[in-house]
Amino acid sequence: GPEDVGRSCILVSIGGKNIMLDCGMHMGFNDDRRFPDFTYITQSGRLTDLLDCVIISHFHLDHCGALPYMSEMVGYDGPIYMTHPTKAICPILLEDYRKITVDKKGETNFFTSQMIKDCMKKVVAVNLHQTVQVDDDLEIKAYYAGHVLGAAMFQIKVGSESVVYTVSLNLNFAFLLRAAWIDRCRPDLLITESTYATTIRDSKRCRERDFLKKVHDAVEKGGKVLIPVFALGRAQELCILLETFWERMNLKAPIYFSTGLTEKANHYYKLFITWTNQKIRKTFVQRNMFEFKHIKAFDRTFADNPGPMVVFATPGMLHAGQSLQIFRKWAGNEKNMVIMPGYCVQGTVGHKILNGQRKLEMEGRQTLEVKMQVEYMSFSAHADAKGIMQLIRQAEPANVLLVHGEAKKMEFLNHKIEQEFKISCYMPCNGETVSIPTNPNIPVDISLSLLKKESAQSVGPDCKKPKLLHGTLIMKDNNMRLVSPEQALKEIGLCEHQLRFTCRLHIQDPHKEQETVSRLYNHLKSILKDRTVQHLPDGSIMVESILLQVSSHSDDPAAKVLLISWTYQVSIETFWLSHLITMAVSTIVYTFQFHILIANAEHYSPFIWGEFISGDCQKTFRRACVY
Amino acid sequence: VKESVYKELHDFELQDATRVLEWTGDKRVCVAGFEPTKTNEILQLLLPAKLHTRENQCLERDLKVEHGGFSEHPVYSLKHVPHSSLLVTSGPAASPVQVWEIGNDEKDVIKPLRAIPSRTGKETYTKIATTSMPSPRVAHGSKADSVNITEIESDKVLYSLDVTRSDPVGNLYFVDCNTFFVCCTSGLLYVADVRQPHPALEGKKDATPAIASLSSEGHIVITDTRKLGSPLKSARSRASTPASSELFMCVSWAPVLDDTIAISGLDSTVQIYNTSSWDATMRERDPLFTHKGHSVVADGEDESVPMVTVHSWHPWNERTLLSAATDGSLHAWDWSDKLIERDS
Repeated sequence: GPEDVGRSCILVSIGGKNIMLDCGMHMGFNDDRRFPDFTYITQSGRLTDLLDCVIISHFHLDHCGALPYMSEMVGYDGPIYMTHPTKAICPILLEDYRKITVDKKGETNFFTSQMIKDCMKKVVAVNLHQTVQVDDDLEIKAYYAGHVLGAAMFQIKVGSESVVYTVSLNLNFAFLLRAAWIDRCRPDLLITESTYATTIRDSKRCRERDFLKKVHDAVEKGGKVLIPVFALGRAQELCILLETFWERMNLKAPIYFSTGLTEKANHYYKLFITWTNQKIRKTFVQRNMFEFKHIKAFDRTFADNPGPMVVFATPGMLHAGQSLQIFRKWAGNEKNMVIMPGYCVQGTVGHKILNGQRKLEMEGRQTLEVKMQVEYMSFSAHADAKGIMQLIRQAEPANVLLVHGEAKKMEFLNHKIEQEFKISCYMPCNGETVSIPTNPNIPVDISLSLLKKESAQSVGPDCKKPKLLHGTLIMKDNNMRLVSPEQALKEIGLCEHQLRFTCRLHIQDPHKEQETVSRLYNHLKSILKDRTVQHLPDGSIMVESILLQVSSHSDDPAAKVLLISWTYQVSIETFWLSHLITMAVSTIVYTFQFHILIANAEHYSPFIWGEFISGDCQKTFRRACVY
Repeated sequence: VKESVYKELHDFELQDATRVLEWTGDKRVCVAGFEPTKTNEILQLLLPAKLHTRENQCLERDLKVEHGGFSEHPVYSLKHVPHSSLLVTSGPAASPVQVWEIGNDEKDVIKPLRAIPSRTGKETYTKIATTSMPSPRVAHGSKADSVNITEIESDKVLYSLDVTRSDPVGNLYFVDCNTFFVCCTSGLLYVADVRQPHPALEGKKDATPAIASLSSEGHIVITDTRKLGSPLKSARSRASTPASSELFMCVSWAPVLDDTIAISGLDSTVQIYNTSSWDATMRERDPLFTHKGHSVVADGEDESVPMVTVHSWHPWNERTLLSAATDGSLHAWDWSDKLIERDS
C-alpha cells in the first residue's frame, strides 16, 4: 500500500548460522541510503562467506528491492529463498523500478537489467510447507501468509532453536487468498512488524462496499471508471465482486478487461492455483476465470465510446501499456474515476496521483492535468493487532521481536504482549542488535554398556523420573558422547591420576621404627576386630584400604612421623574407619604421653575434616594432598 | 422496498468490547474494556483520515492505536478533560474514580495519575463528568446526595450537591463550566449552579439547552431546563422491548443537526430521531434512521445478537456517529435520511 516506506533487512544469527531476512529498498531516498547498509556485515569483500542464506518474504520492493544490489554489486553468491509466485513477480517489479530510476530519471550507480537476471539465477524457489535443508544444520520452511500472492512466513531452524519471520499476514478469510495458518511450532523468537500490532483494520465487507459504491456512483453520473490491475493481483477478485453487484443492481454499463490480462492471469493462476482458496479453485476448475456474464473483452477503440463503462487494464501502477493509454484519454474529465487497487512503486504515475499530484509530466514534455477522481482501494489484507495476537497465540513463541520504523517508544505495546503471553518482547531500533537467550537441547550419545551399568544402579519405583548418570563427556568433531571414565582415558590416551588424602602425626617414641609399627599393628588389630588389618612386608599397615606408614627423623630417632592416607573414593564407611584409626592412634599417642588433639568426628567430608584438623593442631596435620 | 443508505460505513473489531467512546479532540477517541475478570485496556485510537478530514481524497480506512494503558478495574465511564491530556474513569461499585494522563507523542502510554476520593455506591457505579474551566475538575457521584465536584490538581472538593434524596445517579453532565445537571435513574432531574449553594429543582432562569432522557422502557423525554417539572416533548421509540439492564442506555443530542437525538442501549440498534415535530403526548415515533449493523453477525458464528453499548456523535461531521457493541464491534457510519428505492 502507500504506507510502505521502509527498507526491511534483518540479520539473524542462530546456532552459528547467519541469515538475512528480506533485502528491501527505501523508496524515499535517491542516494546510497535507499539500500541497506551492508558495511554493517562486512567493510570489504563479499557477503557470501558471512551469510548462509537470504530469505525474501514477499515481492514488495521495500522487502526485495535491494536484492540485485546486494548480490551483484556488493557480492553474494549464496542461496536466496522465496516462493514461486514471489520469484515470478519480483524480477518484473525490479525491472520496472530500474527503468523508472535509470532510464527516466537518469540516475547512475544502480543495478542493471543483467544484474537482475544474474541475481534471479541465485534464487531458489520453495513450496509451502516444504522443509528446505540449506545445509546440514540449517533448515527453513515456508508457511502461507496471505496479504499478497506469494507472501510467506518463514520458519528458520538450527537444531532445537528456531525463529519465525513474518511481516504481513492475513488471518481472516480473504476472498481469493486463503487465511494464514502456522503450526504450534513454539519458536524461540517470532519476528514481525509493530505497524500491524497498532492497527485496527476496517472490515473487508466495508472495503468492498466502498469500492462498489464508488464504481456505482461514477457510472450513475455517466463517468468512465479505470481500474489498473496487476495481472496477478486482485483483478479476478474485483471482477467477481463487480459481476455480482451488476447482477444484483441490474446495471447496464459495460465492464471490460484487457485481453492480455486474461491470458496472463489465467496462465499465472494455473501456475499458482494452490495459493488461492478452495472456492476459487472450484470455480476455476468449472469454468475459465474470465467467463463472466457482464464482463467482456476490451478493444482499444472502446475507450473512445460514449457513455459510462468500467475497464480493468494492466499494468497496475499506471507506468506503461494499456492502463496508461486509457488513463491519458480519461484523465481530463472530472466525471471519470481511476481506482488504484494495489501497490504502487515510487516514481510511477500511480504513485504520483495517489499522493495527490494533479499535474503530470508525460513523455515529450507534455503535461497531463488530472481532473478525474482518484481513489485508492486498500484490499491488501495486512494483519492487524488482533491478527498479531492470534499469531502469537498460535505459534507460542518464547520471545517476540517487533521491527518498527517509529521514533515513538512502544511501551504499551511491549507491556501488552508481555502481560498477555508472559513472554519477552523486544523492539530494536534500526542498527541495534538484540540477543535472545535460548535453551537449546544438546543431544549426547551414551555407550550402551555405560547406560546399562548406570541404570542398573538406580532401579527403583520412580524409574520414570530423571536420573543422575556418572560418566565422562567427550566433545569431539562437533558431537558429544558420554562414556565410562576408563574408556575416556583410553580414547584420549591419558593415564589415571589418583587423589589421596593424607594425615601426618608427629609422635615421640623412643622405640625403633619397626617396633613402633608392630605396636601400632597390634593395637589396631585389638580394637578393630571385625576389620582386615594387615602388616605388609614393606613395613606399612593396611586397614581395609587405608594405609599407615611410620618413618623417623634422621636427626632425632625418637621423633616419628605417622602417615595415614586414603583415596578420595572412600565410602562413608571407610571414611569413618579412617577416623577410627586416628582415634586409635591417638590412644597410643596418649599412652605414650604425647598429646595430640583429634578432630571432632561429626564431619563427613574428608576435606572439611582435614582442614579442621590442620587448624586445630597447629599444622601438625597437613591437608589432603595429591600423591 | 425503501431502504436508508449509508454514505460511509466502517466496521472495526476491537479486541475487547467497550462501553465508552470518548472523543479526545476531533481526530481521536478513547475506548476501554469493562470485563470484570481481567486487566482492561484503555486505548486512544486515531481515526482514519476519512473520518476526520473534510477532504474527499483519503486513502486510509484503518484505526491506529496511539496510546494505551492498563486498568485494574473495569471501565464503566471515561471522560476526557477538555484541552488537556487528562482522562477520568470510574468503574463498578467500590472501584475508585481514577485520573489518567495520556503520554506525549514520544510515548504510547496512558498512565494512572491518582485516584479521586469519592463515596462509592453499592448498587450503582460512580458517574462522572469533566470540565476544564476554570481548572480541570470532575463531578462524580453514585447517589444524588453524594455528588461532588473535585478539582483534579488539588483534590479539593469545590462543591457538594446539597440535596436530601439519595436516588441513584443515572448521568452527570456539565452544561457549561458552572452549570451541571444530574439525571437520576428514578427520573428525577437536578440542575445545579456551582456558584449557588442550592440546586434548583425548578430549573434555571436563563436559556440553556433542553435535556433528553431515555427510560429503560424506551420512552424518550425532552425537558426544558427552565421547567424541569413537566416534560416538553415525549415519545416512545419504535418496537423496543424494555432494556434488560440500564447499563448501556445512552441518549445524545446531535452536535450539529438541530433537534436530533440518537438513542441506544435498548437492543442491537442505534436509532436517530428528529424531535422537532414531537409534543408532550407519549406517542410512538418513527426514527429517521436505524443503524442495525451490530446485529449482522459474521457467518458461522452462532452467537446471541450483541447489544449496543454506547454511541457518540462526530463533533462536526453532522451525520457521522460511532457506535460499539458487546461483541467488540466498533462502527463508524455516516447516515443519510435519503431513501432509495430498491427491488425486493
